[in-house]
Amino acid sequence: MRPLTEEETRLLFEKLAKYIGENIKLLVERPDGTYCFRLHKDRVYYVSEKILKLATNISRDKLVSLGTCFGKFTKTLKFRLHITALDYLAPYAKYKVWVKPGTEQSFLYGNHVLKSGLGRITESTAQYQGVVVYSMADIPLGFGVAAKSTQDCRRVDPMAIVVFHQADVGEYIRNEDTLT
Amino acid sequence: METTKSLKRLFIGGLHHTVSESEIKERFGTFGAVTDVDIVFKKDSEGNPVKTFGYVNISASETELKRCMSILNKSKWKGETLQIEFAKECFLHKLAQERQDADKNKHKPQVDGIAKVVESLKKAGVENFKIRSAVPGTEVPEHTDWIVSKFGRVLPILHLRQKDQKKILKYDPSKYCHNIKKLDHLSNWEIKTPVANLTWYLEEQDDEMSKKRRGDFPAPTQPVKRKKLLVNKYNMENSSDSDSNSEQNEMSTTPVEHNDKRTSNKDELISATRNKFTLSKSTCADSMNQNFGRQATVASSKSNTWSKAQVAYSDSEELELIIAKDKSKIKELSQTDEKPKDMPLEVRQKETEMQKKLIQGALSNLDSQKPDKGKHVIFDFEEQNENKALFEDIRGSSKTKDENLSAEAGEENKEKWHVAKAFESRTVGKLFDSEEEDNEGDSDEDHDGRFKIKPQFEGKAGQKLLSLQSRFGTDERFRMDERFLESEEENAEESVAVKSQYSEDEELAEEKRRAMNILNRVIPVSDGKTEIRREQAKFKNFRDASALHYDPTREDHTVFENKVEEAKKESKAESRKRREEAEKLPEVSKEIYHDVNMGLKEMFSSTAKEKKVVWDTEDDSQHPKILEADWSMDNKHEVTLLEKKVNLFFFFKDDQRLKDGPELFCRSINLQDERSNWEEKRTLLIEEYRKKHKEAKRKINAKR
Repeated sequence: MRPLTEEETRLLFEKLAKYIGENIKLLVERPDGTYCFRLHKDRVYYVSEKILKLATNISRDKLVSLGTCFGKFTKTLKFRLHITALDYLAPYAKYKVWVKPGTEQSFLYGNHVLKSGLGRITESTAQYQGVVVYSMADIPLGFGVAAKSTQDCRRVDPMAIVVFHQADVGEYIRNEDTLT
Repeated sequence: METTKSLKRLFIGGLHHTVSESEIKERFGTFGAVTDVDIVFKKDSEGNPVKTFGYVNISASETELKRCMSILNKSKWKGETLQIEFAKECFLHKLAQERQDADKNKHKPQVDGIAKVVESLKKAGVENFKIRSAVPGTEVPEHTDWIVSKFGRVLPILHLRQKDQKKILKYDPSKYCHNIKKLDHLSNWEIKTPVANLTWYLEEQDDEMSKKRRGDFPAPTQPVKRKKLLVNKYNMENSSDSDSNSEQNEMSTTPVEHNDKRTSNKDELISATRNKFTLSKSTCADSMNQNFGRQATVASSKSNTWSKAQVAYSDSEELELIIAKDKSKIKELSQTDEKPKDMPLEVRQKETEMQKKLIQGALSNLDSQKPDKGKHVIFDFEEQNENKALFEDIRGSSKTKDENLSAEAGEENKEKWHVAKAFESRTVGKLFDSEEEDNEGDSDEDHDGRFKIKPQFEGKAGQKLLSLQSRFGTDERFRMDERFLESEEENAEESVAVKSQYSEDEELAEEKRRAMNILNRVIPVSDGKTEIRREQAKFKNFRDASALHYDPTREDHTVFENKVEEAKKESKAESRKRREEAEKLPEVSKEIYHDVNMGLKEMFSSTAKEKKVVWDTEDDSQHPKILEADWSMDNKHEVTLLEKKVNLFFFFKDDQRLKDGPELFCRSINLQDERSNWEEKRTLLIEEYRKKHKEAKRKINAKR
């Protein structure tokens, strides 16, 4: 377990900024305690100070995970955001997409969202912008990347993909073992 | 079904190595009588059986054999799968058979074949390679390789393959026109040549094109390898030097031979050799600028010296020469300088040619050596040794050069010296980061010195210095010495700063700060960009007025046009209102100025009293005013009436005009009253004008 290097921090923030923009500040500097990012076996964990201190007493090979896993760095140093970060992305999300009840299930199985399943979308969403996907009852389902900007969404045909699936809460069941 | 039993040999593969002959007999006995069993074990080097197979001679009927095959083939026996096939002949048998066949074939050459074909064709209806009434292109029944061509002639379809090529071309003779010709003039039966004799043989031509057409390409010549790197050249130079030393004998023999061939006299020999040397010198002097030239000089001059040495040795009467290079060289140099001009032209020319050949020979040898030598990684030390040898050479020559050398030779040597030195310094510099060597005498010491760590590089600061120096590579200008060392104090401070330990909280705070910094870098960068974009957008919006030019075809330029206001379509109410207003004349006071007699009778009654109608001009002036007032009054009150009641032209009953009109003629006011009024006014008026008259007179009088 070690703190992130500058390069890694930069990559992490760039990725997070795609979804929550400048609200990362609220993650880094919280009024209710010091939280920080730690790297352990290529995975980035968001831990509070207290837990961190406890975790330093565990040897590396025995330590499985700590705090919340935000994602991991791949071999080629790209950062992949995991579904476990949703709890921290959802409240600060800048661009949101609401999905119709019928398409919810499809999304939870890992499929992309089609225009026919799109309920609502935040105005002025750019193309390839990171978005958080909600159900119509405002329950966060996961996150993805907008395949079309809001304007394009209006005029595209109903079978076109509007949101690329990146992570959904169904993964907790489907990919249990890879989530640590 | 045939029940005849025949002896067949079966091959059994995949036998387990513990299988015995008896077991095989049992197994196969069910299908027929087993006469012979052979088992072959194939073992590898360690004695482990690799393959086990066998042959069985069995006499059985066909059906039985088939059954045997189907059952036992691919079946498992003791863990191994069996493979049963009809055995190929034991090859002794085979050989024997082949020999027999070969013998048979010798006796019966192709004629048999031809006869067969003819017979088969006859069966198909082809007589003597002819078919009657057949269109060219028809196939011959049962013979796929034959086809009917012109004149009913049956020709074979050929499958041709070019030599050394895989592709096979199919040649169908029926598709080509001029491949057969009817020999009509030979129709009489006496002159009947067999087919074999009709083939034409063309003479093979030996020129290149026809060779190529046949497919006889000449063997490719090897490409000449080019020399590449300068370093390699130097290496080669050195190597060539070392080689040339060893090759001296070779090269020297050739000139010696040449010499022997041409001249027998000693004098001529010596003169020839001398000549050669001068010419070689001159040629070499010309080409000194080139590397080849240099090499040539080195090589050829050396060869020459050697040759001379040998020649001189053979003729030791005249010149006392030792094989040692130095002295011989110099002496000869000095000698040759004395008599350059005496040689005739022809001899000189011949010499130049010879020299060229020599040089070429020398260079070709070098060429052959180079590819190998070039690949050698030559280390500093070895080269140095070679250089040393070269140096000694040159040194030796240079020492005695003071005596008698011509300028050319001196330069030559100097150049060699410089070349060698440069080479040495360069190679020395490359491999080790050490200082230059100036003297050879120090070489031994420097070898040790090279490996000692220089004092300025010791310690941590020194390490820094070393790394700093290595940044600049081997550049001489950047050698770091003590002056470049950082002061130790600074170093100490730095280390202290690094070593200071944070408490955990401070670390976390520090980390947070760092994270915020990075965040600020990541995010405001994007904000800054948007700001910049906005500014850029502003700039984009600025439009230069002077650049603006009205273009009627452009839609957005209609803004600039003055629009002609079109009459608005007003509502009816509005239009009516406006009309009413327009027709309304300004209001006139309603005060009635005079009494109007409404009825005519009253009019006439009043006038009846005074029959005299006096048309005074005084009265007339008053009338128009009254008249006007009258009409306006009427108009005002009876606007609508007037509109509706169109004034008819002709008088009608109760026409107003009839009533009003006569009144205009009559006096309205009492005559007496009028008179008295007038009288009053008159007197007043007279007084006034009299006054004015007096004043005017007074003024005139005053002026005078």
